[in-house]
Amino acid sequence: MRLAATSLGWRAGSRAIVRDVALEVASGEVFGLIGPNGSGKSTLLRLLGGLLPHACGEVRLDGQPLSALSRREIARRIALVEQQADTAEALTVRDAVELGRTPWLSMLAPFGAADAAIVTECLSAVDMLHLEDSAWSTLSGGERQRVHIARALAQRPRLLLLDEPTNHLDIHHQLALLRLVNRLDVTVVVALHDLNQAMSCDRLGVMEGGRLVACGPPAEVLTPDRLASIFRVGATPLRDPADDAMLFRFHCLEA
Amino acid sequence: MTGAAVSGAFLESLVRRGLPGVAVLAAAILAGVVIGETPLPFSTAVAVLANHLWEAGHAVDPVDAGIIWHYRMPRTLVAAACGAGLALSGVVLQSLVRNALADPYLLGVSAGASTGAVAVTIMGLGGGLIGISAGAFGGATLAFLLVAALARAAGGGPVQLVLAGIAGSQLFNALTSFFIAKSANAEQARGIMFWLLGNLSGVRWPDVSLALPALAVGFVVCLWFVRAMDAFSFGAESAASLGVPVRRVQVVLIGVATLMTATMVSLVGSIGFVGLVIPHAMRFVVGPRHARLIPAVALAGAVFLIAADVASRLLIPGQVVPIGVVTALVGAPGFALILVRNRRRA
Repeated sequence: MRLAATSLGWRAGSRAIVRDVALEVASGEVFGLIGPNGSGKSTLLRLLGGLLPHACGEVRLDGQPLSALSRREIARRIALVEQQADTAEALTVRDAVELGRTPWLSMLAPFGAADAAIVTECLSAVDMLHLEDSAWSTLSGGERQRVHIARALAQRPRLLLLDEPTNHLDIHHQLALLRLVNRLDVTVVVALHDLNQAMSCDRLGVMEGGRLVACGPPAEVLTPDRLASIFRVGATPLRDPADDAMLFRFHCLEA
Repeated sequence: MTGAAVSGAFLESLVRRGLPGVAVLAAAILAGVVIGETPLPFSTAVAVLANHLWEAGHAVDPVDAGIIWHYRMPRTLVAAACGAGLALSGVVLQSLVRNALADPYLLGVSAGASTGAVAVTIMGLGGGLIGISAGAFGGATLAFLLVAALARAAGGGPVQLVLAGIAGSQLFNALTSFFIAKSANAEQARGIMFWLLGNLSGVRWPDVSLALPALAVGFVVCLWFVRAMDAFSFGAESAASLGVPVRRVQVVLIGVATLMTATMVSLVGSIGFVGLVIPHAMRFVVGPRHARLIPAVALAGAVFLIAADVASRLLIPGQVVPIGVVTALVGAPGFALILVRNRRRA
């Protein structure tokens, strides 16, 4: 699914959180959003999902404006994985993932065998099938994050919005998740903090002060000069002799 | 799966789960009709009901028949409707505001309904059952909006909501007292104070014709939105990303919760703790998913309030204890239990 956004903006009171962002993501592309804390990445993801009231600008999916779709029609196309969504309800893991089928169900189309099969498939995609009967309250932070991702996958979206999905995950599950995301046959926009992980995206957008200040392939966007000015770190590019992949070693810049 | 197969399975599960529920409810209603100050045999009660429901023509003492049909039957049906309605209101509020302590009584909705009903009664703004209920609905809506706005202005956390509910309850209870002191004569005042504590003794058939439709509307709307209420488990934004039109669902569901609470308060006064204790107890039994929780809560609420009404007639021989006192005696320890369990989870 092709995503196109023009002059997106959003204000919290008098403060502009996102300003005049224009963005195009091709069908099947994995687009990474990076930027320091408070640069507007999470807000931009919500704007792309049509979740914020009083937003400026327009988002189009395959040419169709988001504003012309109902909430339910949007949820059949776009799934969002938030940071730290929690519940006090005594839900099981399977209950939580079944919520992902919500936009596809109605009084006339109740939850059926096909939905149960999708839920099982999504649980096993994030390696949580063995814990399907566990209570939500007994899960670790990383397990909860994987359940959220399974729930988003159960929506069968064509655009997946992920807000720092590798937070709380151990290194094995971080890499497994990024591999899963890269293999999915959907368009992905993912906010990331780890710049080396961001190198595996097809393209990157750099946010600063609510604006999208750079956009392009990782190697072009992540230059030592830009890292110094936006992230306030020094970066030495290194090559992994195993596969010639580029990665960074960071060091503090003295103020 | 074909549509016919789906509706077949749905009907089967409805019968399998629904029939025992209907049986329990019928047994509770029978108990409500049989047990009371004047002991009446079970056979008499059944004969009277059969006479009225399908003109069976059994010979029954007309005084006994009057007690059962004109007094105990409407009273029991209204108790059932109130219990179900208040418990459903509790589930709706707990789901939408994501707060285990949300309930029409604690959030000041009942107090607002009382104020509205008393204002209409005393000031004669348009008497009659419908007028009083409309006044209660107006008061309840105003109270909820005020409490929600205050909780939001105070930061929007779960603690703020409960504190705002206390402030709202106090304000509306004070307004009720003010109206009574200002305008009611001594006899009116005594009657209103007794009604405010929850009182089913004045209930007659016209009250049933208001309570049952209000409950039916609320129950059907709740059933319609079971999946939406599930989707609120992880918050409003998560519900929106799952395709729920959040604002519309909030307005409709809180609207019917307010409607049910206001109708029940206008009929029987302010009865606390049903909306809090019944939903929590039922979550324990059938789990947190609303497709099972909503029917279970309606049934348990109905049975609970019939039982409370029966207890209120028997606790002190020769005297009727206000039913609000009975529900509070059971509910307050239940409330304490919820507080302690919440602390353990945190």
